[in-house]
Amino acid sequence: MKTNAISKTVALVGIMAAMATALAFLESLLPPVGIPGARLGLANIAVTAALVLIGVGGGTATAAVKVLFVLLTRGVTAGFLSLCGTTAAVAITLLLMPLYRKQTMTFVGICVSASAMHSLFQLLGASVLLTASVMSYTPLMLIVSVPTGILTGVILNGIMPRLTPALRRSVEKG
Amino acid sequence: MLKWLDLVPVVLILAVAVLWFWWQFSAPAGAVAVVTTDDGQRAIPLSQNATTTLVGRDGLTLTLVVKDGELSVTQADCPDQLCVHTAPVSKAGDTVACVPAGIAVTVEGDADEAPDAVAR
Repeated sequence: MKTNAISKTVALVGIMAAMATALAFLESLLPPVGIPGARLGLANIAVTAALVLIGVGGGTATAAVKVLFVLLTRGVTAGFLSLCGTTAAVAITLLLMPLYRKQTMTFVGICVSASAMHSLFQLLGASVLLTASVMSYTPLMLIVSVPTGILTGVILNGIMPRLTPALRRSVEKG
Repeated sequence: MLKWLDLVPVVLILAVAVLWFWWQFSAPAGAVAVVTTDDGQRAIPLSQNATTTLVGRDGLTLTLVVKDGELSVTQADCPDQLCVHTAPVSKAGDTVACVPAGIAVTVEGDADEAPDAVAR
């Protein structure tokens, strides 16, 4: 039974991580929005969903795979920046998760926070690699993170109530 | 569907962003002009308009005027007036000097404002 549960977690992490990388790829196909460095952060949908569906361990593993994917495909610098941003985003998501469970906050609030933290810590990481003046980019990125966070939050608000029972059913069956 | 708590991060983030913007524009450059005389060094901030009169070697006087983040020498007792004719200085590394009075003014500030590695 225990092995079964582990296999299930591994399989779920695999699915969610594949989803994250696929969303990241999909995002790279979209035309640039005109603000350098600004992204929709669609991959965060999969990571946040994993944190809710699989739990802390599985969700963190999904995030780790996402970072590893960036590291392998886009190089050490992008990998490091992804690590900075993703770690911060996962941390704030876990911090706010109790509010979601208590239904006092929806994914919009969580995703906006995660998106802002992602931007902030990515810039902090960049300022370590380059110069501190990179931080002057922070306010613009914070403002951009609000609409992108709302977008991913609304998507999650839409899919999670459907995805959670579906997953529970499949778990009960198997 | 949305809860009022969803608004808190949005408001918080926008507030931080606006404050950060405001802070950035209100304090433009931390550049300082370092004045070297025979008596030692002193710093003159370029962020506030001011007029400073210096007395150098042989009692020669020099008037430094800071205006809009730029420093210029408006008056000098020396015969050649080279420093008066020097363009106003504002960027890190800019220098204006009066050799007869033994006074040199160099702008120091953020490393980023200095010429880059290629230009240097």
